[in-house]
Amino acid sequence: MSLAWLAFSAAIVLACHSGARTEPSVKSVQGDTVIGTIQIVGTDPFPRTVIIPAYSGISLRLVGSPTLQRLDGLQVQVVGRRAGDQFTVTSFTVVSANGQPATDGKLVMDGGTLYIVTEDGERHALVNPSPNLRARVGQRVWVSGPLDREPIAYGFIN
Amino acid sequence: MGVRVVRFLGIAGLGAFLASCGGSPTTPANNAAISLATNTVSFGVQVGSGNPTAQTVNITNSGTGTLSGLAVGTIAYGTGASGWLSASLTGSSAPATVTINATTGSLAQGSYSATIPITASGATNSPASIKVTFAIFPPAGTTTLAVGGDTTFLSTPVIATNLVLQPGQKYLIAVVNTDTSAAANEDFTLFGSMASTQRVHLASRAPLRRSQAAPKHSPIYNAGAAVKRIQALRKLQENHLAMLDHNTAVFQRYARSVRMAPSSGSTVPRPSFSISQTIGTVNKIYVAASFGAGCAGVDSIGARTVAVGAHVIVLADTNTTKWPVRFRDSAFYQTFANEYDAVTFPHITTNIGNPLAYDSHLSSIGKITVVISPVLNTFGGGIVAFVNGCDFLPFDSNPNGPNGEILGNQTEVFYYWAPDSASGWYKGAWEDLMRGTAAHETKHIVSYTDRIINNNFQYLEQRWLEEGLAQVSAEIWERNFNSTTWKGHANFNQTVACEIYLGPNETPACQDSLGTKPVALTGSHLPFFFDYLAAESQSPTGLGFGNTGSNATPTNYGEGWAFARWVLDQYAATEPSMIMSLVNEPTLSGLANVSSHTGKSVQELLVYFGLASAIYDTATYTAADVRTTIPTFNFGQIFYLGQTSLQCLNTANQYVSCGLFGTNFSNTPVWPIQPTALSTGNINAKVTGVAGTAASYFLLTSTGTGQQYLQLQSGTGGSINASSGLRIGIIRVQ
Repeated sequence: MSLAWLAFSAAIVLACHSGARTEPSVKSVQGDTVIGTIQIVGTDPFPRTVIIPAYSGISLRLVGSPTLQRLDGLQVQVVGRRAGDQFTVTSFTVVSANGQPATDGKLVMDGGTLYIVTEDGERHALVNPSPNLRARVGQRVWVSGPLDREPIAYGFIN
Repeated sequence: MGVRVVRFLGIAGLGAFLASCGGSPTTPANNAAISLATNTVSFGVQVGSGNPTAQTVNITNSGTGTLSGLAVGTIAYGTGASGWLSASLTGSSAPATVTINATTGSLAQGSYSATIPITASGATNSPASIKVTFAIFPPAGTTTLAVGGDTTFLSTPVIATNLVLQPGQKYLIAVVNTDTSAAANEDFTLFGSMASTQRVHLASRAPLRRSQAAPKHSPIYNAGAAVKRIQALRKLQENHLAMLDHNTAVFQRYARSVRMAPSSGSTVPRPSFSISQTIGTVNKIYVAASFGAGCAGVDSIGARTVAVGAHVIVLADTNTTKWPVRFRDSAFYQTFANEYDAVTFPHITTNIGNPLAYDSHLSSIGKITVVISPVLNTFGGGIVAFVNGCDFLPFDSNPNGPNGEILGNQTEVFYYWAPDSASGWYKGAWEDLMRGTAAHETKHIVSYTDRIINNNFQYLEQRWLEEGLAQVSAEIWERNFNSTTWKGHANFNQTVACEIYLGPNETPACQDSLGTKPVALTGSHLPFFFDYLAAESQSPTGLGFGNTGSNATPTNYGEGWAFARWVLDQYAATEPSMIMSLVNEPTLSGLANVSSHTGKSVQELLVYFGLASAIYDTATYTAADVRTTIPTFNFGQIFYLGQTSLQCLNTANQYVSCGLFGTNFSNTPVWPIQPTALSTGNINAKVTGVAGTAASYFLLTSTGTGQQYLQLQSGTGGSINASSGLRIGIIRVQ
């Protein structure tokens, strides 16, 4: 077992125990899980992304949805399978942006109110959402900051 | 909304029908409706100050018939104080205007609201309502600036100030999103009020008048093919970026392999081939032909040794089908090698680092190899040059090995394309481009060498800064020919005119000792910086550091270079010391790397760079703070002449005005930044989607004497969140 693998395993353990002590909500999932910062290292025609795990600093090359490249600089929880230094992502969740907790979900308009619906089905009404968010009903986005206030920042995932 | 409108019209139509059945067919239906230009009005002043400037709302008839009998109903106040609002109409028939006044009086700090009903006897939607909010802010400090002076608000986004003004003064305001992720967009409102002026704000993206200091009688250059060639190069550069990304992926894949060459100690076994230093010898070379993450996607070529220098070997592809012999066997190669020895290699070792520091683990040739091959011309649609990370890894022809095949050349190589007359890069121009490109690509070799030694590929530089510093390398190299200097305010004649032929009116002094013009700045630095700035603050989401897709090219080649240049101009004791510290950084990357080695916060870096790169006119002032400038270049003058003084041949073989930096030869915009024009008074400028690291710009023109209150608010006009990344910088420009 390499040092890198040991460090990675430690990262997983820390990640799994970090939900209570870190501000971003981290879901419990099956499979390998890493929380870290996405860095873009690829672009068209063959974009690449890496993740710098929050607890070990050893970067992993991510393989999966091209939408990952839209998350450059954000803290993301990725779920999937690691093979060597490659991590095949089956799902991911944006957990924070610039140190602020983030909510990742799909935009739904209901009765004039814009909601973000997280993967677990929970609906959160957005306070004074940006026109840029209102224009993307049905799309997956993230917003940062407390949900009872106007979002601090936002981004588009797909 | 659309459904509601249809429904309303349906009901209205039914009403008209029923009315017609009621026995009054001779009376025309009057379905007048009140239409307000806005339903909300916001005032804001500091506690104890004078009354805010009145605001007006236009009223029109959105229905049919005549809208008459207009009146202001009884104002309904929200909780708190009352009596602070008044409204009056200019007339009782539409179109009309309602003027709204808020009276500060003794209102305490806080937020107040009221509703103004607008009634009309014949309107189907009477009353219509205008909701008014009146914010009484805590007192803010004052800001007084001399011409060229600046102020920044870096510590918090909760920003308010009173700008002390006289008529005719102008202020450039940069609202910068200092979030380090370009994926993090923020909205904001720039709110303002001025009690002592009667002027209202003009929120429009008006074209700016060129300043008096801009050149009035600049020469007209018949640039012709030169501009076409530069435009073609822009597209090719995008593929160079893709190759850099390929390298990063390769390193990520192999970085911690147990088969990795050690960073110190014994060398790895030699490959079964090596680069011959005997002129005429044909070498077997692997040239990457795939952007995939592996090292097996190569073309195997024969490449003849055509030139040898003290620090460089030049190989030329022997393929005669894709590359005519008269090009392949050019005498230029030895000339290039001689220049590489005399100029390029010393430049690299002096300013960037040692590209051969890892050589003992590779070929131990002690020289940089340059492979010229037409494989690059068709690779991904064409690519000018690249460095392949696979060349730093141990060779392995076994596809069943733990990392698969590694078909690299196990030496320090950069690859360069063959001439392409179709895109304007005929042999002479291609040679000119190769020289500066060598400085760019050799910098990449230094980066990979340093990162192998420092961290065994654990941490690689972020793409925008890697390319940005490679651009700096080519820029500094170019000084050997254009005689520009560090912080020397290089102008159009020293840059563009020194690199491309501009016809009989050009300045002839820039030809180098070879009688040619090496190309560097004009090929990618300047046009991509222009592109980046032009797109940076465009709504709904502008550009920021680290963009992907088609926006990656202007970001990395343009902004990455300009930012790195600005950092060197501001914070470097010497250029080499700062460059080497950034390139040789063992763990950090991107803004964290720059922040660490300058000792400056990301907020300071981004806000001052935002001010320095606000190129919207030729500056008529002397900056009091050098951080609001990029002293090595006179970008305003370069962009202005590049967009206003060139002529190109059109399809009718006539010379017409064209631009070096605009898309498809367009000579507009002249300036890359188009700030939103504001006048003093009530300001309520809303901006959405400012990408992290990017700026949004305003040009505030004073029309009165007094204090202009400015406040940064949230996107919808509320209090800004204290965790927002938004910050403000202001320069008085006139």
